[in-house]
Amino acid sequence: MWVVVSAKVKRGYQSTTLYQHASTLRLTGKVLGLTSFPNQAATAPAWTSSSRREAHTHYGARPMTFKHKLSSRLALLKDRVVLASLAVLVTAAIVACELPVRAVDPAVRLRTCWSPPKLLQRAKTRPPTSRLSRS
Amino acid sequence: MSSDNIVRHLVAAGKTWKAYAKILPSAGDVTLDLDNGSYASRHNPLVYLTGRPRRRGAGPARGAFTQFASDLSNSTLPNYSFIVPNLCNDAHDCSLGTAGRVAFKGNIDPLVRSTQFQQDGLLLILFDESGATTPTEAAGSCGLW
Repeated sequence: MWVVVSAKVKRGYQSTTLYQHASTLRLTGKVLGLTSFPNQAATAPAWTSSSRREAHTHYGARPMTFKHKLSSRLALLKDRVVLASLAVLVTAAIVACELPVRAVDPAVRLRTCWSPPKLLQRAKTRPPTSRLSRS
Repeated sequence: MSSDNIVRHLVAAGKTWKAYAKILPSAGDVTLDLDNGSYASRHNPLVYLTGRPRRRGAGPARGAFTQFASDLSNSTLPNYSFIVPNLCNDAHDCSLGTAGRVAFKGNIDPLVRSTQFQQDGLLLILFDESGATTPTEAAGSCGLW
C-alpha cells in the first residue's frame, strides 16, 4: 500500500484497482518526466489521478470483477448525474436572471437574480478542489 | 545489483537523485547487508546498485538523513529523493504513533509545508511487508526496478 501526498492530487481519493510495484516505478518516472522506464515499469499499468474515468479504464492491472465493474460504473454514473444536475441548476439560474416584465419606464433597467440559499451556502463552504490518490 | 533501475534513467535524463537514510553509519556509506539494530541496508536499496549509478552516486548521493533538513531549507533537494527511516521510525520496531510523531511530524511535515513541495512535489509513502527474502526483492517492492 502506498499513500500519495501532493498539492496536485485528488483529496481523499482511494483507488480500488490493484497495482503492482512496477506501477509505482512507472509513476515515479512519469512524474519526473522520464520517457523510458526500467524493466517491468516499461509495460506496467501506470496510475494517474487525472480523472476517475481514466483510472478505471486505462490502468487496471487485472480484469475487474463484476462487482468491481458495477461499482465503477455507478461511480461514473454518479459523476454524470452530478454534472447533469449542475447543468440544470445553471440553466435554472440563467432563466431566473431573465428580465422581469417591464412595469416601469423601459429606460430603468431592472434585473433580478434568484439563487437557492442552500446552493450559495454550499458553494461558499466547498473546499478547494485538490486531488489525492492512493492505491 | 546490475539490473536496470530508476537511477540509470534519472541520470540519463539529467535528473538528480539522493538517498537519505536515517542512522546511516556515515555519509556515503554503501556497506551491504548491514543491520546495526537501527539502520538496515536492506531498507536502503540504492546501496545495492552497481554500475553507473553506484559510481556516480557513491558519495553524497547516499547521504545521512540529517542532510535532508538542510537540503530542504537550502532548496537543494534533488529531483528524486529516497528517504529511508530507521527500524523504529518505519513502525516496524516501534509503534505507529512513534513513527508518526518522529518520522512524519518531525521530518516530513516541514517538507510537505514547504513552498518547493507545494509547487510541484510528490511524496509517495510506501508500506510493505511483502515477505521479500532478498535485498533485490525488497528493493523491487520499493519501486526502484
